[in-house]
Formats: sequence, structure tokens, C-alpha cells
Amino acid sequence: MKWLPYLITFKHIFILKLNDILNNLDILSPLIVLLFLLFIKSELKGGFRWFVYYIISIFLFATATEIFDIIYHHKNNLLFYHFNCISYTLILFKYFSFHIKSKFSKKLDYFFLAPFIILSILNFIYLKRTFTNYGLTSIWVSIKCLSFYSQKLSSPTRENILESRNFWIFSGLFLYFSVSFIIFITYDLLTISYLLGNYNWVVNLWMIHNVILFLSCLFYIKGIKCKE
Amino acid sequence: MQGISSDFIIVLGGTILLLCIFGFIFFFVIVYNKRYRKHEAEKVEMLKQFELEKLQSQLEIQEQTLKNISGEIHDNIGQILSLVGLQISTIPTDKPEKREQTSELLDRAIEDLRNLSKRLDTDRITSIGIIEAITHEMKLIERTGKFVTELSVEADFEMLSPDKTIILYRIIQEILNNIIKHSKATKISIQLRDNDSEDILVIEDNGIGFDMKSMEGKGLGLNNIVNRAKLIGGIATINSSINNGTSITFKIPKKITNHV
Repeated sequence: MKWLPYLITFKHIFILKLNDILNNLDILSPLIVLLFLLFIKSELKGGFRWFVYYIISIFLFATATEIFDIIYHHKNNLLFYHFNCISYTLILFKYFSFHIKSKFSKKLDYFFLAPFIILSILNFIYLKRTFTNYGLTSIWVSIKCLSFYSQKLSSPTRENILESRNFWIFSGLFLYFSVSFIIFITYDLLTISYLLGNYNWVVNLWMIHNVILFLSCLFYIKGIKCKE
Repeated sequence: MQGISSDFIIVLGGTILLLCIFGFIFFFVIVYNKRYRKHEAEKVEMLKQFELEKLQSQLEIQEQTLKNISGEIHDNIGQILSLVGLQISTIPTDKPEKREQTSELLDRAIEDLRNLSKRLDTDRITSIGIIEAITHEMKLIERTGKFVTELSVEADFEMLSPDKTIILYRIIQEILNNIIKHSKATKISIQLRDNDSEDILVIEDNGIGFDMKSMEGKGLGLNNIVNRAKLIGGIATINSSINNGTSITFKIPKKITNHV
């Protein structure tokens, strides 16, 4: 049984490393996509350009937030989160305009924009610990993705969907935002729990968010490999 | 305990949600690809149909042209040559043997032209029937003295519509022309037989044959034969190997009769 202490040590190191990786997956995942983009050297044109901007945006904000946390420990970093939400919402707005043409989708944009702008202004004024804006964006993106699927089914089928770049990108977005929607709308409640000392709830929930982001990035990589 | 149950609920909830999303995407892919496969199959079918219609139009134009040429040979050139023959016979000459030779050559030319006219005349072919037309064709080939021909008739092919008869006859003509031009054969045989469901036509020669693999994608003439067979609802099978001659078999279902 001499090896038992080594095994326990190894297990502890593995869990610690795994936790580190999971905690930083929100930076690593888009970074992997960006490295893959550099490796593939895919041409940036049309809607795909805006998708790349989206990846760059989430990578930059996640990295900036992490650096801010390291330098100014325990300081309010919500400004980054609010900017991040506005940034990727606007980029996705442009990206969707290339690929979703239905009237329903345009009407949805009008309904979404008004509360989004109001919430964004309020967030900046009060800098509150709230993810309502994220929740709103998530449900908007999810419905947009469903519109994309519906549009695909109602238009003539001219391509093998598994070789379609947009299908994989939209599936990645749908996967991430539909699951994240639940996380974001419960996050405010869980934050209270965190402040009361129930750390596990919030930390584990954020790890799940990171895993979902990583899975969606695998979808994006598959999409980047496909021709437009 | 509270912590463990909370983690468990989060992981379980997240997993169920993930499975639902994956399930949805999977379901979408299945539905979409089903439509895609159906669309592709329809596209292939439309392309085939278009090719057949194009071929049919080409054949119709060709038949009309041949009919016009046949009429022109029979009614115009044939008549003129007959008059020339009459005129020659009345020209006074001190070399009658020369006049006889000229007359014989002219008679042969008139007969060749008549034969050509008969071969091209669509109405005549449909009126005498496919078997008589093939017999006539084989006799003309035999008359060249370069080939031994053999015709075996065990079926009358009476179910064939006039349009199909013409197409089948033109296919046979093309194959016989190919044998004469390229095969270096000495023997040509045609068999007409049937079974309960099909009329079967086999054309064989003992020529130099060809390598089937080397002809893949190249043999426009062979593809033309296969496509024309499809046009009359039949199937053409070509078998050949170097130095072992060539055999072409047509199978035409008896039920598909007046389609073209």
C-alpha cells in the first residue's frame, strides 16, 4: 500500500488542475477557436466575419475581466460584464441580419431592442450585480436560432446540413445561449446565496456555464472547417 | 449534505437540458437530411427525365431528316437516274459494250439508292415490322461478301409500338455500322427471343472486341445505345473483351409497350 499516498496526491493535483481548467474555460474556449481560425486561414467575408468578431469579443472581455480580478481583487468588475453583453449582442445582431430573413425575426428584434436598451442604461447607472440583460439576450439568440432552423426547413434543401458552416455555428449558439439562459436568470438568486456563504452553488453553476461554452466552441470549430 | 444535493441538482438539471438541446439538434438534422435526400433523388430523376426527353427530341428530328432524305432519294434522284438510264439506252453508239457497262453501273447505283431509301424510310420500317427490316439489313451486309450473317427469330416483338420499333431499329443499325467499321469481325449474328415478361434481342460478333474498363466514361456511342434502350423502357447490356468479340443484349419488358 506504499503507492496509496502517491495516488491520493495525484488525485488532489488532478482535481485542482481540473478546477483551474474549468474556471478558465471561458477564456480558453474562444482562444482555441481563434487559434483554429488562424490555422485554417479561412476567408473573412459576409456574415462569417461578424461571427469571428463575436469570438474575439468574448475572448477579449473574458481575458480583461480575469486580468482585472487578478490586479484589483474583490473590486466590482460588472462594468466589463455589461460591456461584454452589449458588445456581443450588437455583433450577433449584425451576424443574424446576414442569415435570417424572416419577417417574424425582424419583429422580434424590435421587441427585444427596447427592453435591452433600457436594461443596459440601468445597468450602467447602478452597476448592479444582475444578469437580467444576459438572460434577455440569451432568449433572443435562442429564438433567433430557432428561426434559422425554421427557415432552413421551409426553404429548398440544397445542401447537406452537416457540411453547412452556418448550421454548426447556429447550433453552437443555440446550445450555449439556451442552456445559459437558465443559468443567467437564476444567477441573481444564486448570487444572494453566494453572499450568504453557499459558494458551491454559484461556482459550480459557473463551471457548467464554462463547459457549455467549451461545447459550443467545438461546434464552432466544426463549422469553421466546413465551407460556406 | 445540502451542498451535495445542490451540486447533484445542478449537474442533473444541466445534463437533462443539454440532452434536450442535443436531441433537438439531432432531430432537426434527421428531418432536414430526409428532405435533402428526397430533394437530391428528385433532382437526379428530373435530370434523367430531361436527358431522355432531349434524346427523344434528337431522335424525332433525326427521323424527320432521314424521312425527308429518303423521300428525296426515292422521288427525285431515283426518278432522274431512271430517266438517265432510259436516255442512255437510246443514245446511238459504235461501242455498245461501253453503253451496257454504263447502264449496269447506273442500275446498280439506282438499286443502292433504293436500298438506302428503304433503310431510311421510317414509315416503311413500321409497316413491314422490325423482323423484316432486320432481315433486309442483314441481307445487305451479307451482300458485301465480307461477313457471314445469322438471324435467329424465336419471338415476333409484336408488342412494340411503331415509335419503339423505329428506335430499336436505329439502335440495331448503329450497332451493325459499328461492327462493320471497327470490329474486324467475319461473323455477325442476331437473335430475337422472349420469355414470359421480356422481349430479348442479342447482337453478337466475332471481332477484336474491346476492353470494357478502358471505355468507361469515354464510349459516347455505347452510352447512346444504353440511353436509347432506356427510352423504350428497356435495358442494354454490353459485354466485350479483347479478341473475344462483342455481345449486346436488349431486354424490353412486354408490359411497357406504347410509352414513347
